[in-house]
Amino acid sequence: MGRVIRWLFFLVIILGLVGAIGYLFVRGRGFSARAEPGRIETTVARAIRRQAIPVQARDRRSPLAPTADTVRGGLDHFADHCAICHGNDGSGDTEIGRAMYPKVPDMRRPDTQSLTDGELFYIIENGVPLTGMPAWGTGTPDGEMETWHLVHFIRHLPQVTEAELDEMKKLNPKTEDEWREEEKMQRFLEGGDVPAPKPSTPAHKHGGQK
Amino acid sequence: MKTLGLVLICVALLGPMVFAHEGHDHKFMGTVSSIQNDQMEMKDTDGKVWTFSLPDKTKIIRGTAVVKPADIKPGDRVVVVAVGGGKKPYVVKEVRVGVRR
Repeated sequence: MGRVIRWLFFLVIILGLVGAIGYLFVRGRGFSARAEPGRIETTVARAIRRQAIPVQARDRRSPLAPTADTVRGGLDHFADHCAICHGNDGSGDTEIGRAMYPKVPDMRRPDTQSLTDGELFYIIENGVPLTGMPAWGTGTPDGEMETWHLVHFIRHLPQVTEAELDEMKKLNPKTEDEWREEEKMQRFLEGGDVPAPKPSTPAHKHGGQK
Repeated sequence: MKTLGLVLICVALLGPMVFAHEGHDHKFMGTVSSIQNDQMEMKDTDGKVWTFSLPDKTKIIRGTAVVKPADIKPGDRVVVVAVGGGKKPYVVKEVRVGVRR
């Protein structure tokens, strides 16, 4: 009994110490999603994620053949749903991707490419808690097929071509304003008239854009 | 000993963090005034002059072809996508170069 109390006492001291360090840290620096997770945090988080994926899910194989059509299906879907955070090239170098905690990973690198097909599938379907990755799974066979197409496209990312990236730009969701802006820039690049200067320039748009 | 390990992991998780702020993507549309080494000066369509840093990884596209910084000449129309600004110079991610007339 005395031993249990001693351990509980020790546990309270430890929790208090961790709490105090956390409090001082937050008070001293505040918090920001702009921070980068440390190496230990990243390693621990990835290890937990790996352990959290059931073994049978990890070992799942794609039912689709790795053909050009399969990759193309994934490309279309990726450009429409994923590129806003991951970028068309999978680099994660997007406004949202750079500002997340943890930052959106560069999926062309071994950290992602070394995951099994089953792990990629599981992550897309179920998301990753405490990150920006949502669960895209719909629980339907059609939804699963779309996810397997994405897995094949993710495998293709290290070899994605400029022509494919150009194609994806056309498939990225855009607002009406963004389409107009894109058309205006294209006209400008093709030698069309220079847009008339505006009386004031908004903070994040330059050169006569909206 | 295990408890000590747990404490060290907790402390490490709360450990030093590196703050980085690359900010938003900014788009600029204008005509190249000058380009040398890794710097490009551009006058936008409102007449304002901007200076950009062109790192090695900058993607430069003319039409559908990827070209080199040396292929950009003064007088070229460009659309620039860059990050940064404020006290630091804008760092260019992508330059789309127009056709020459």
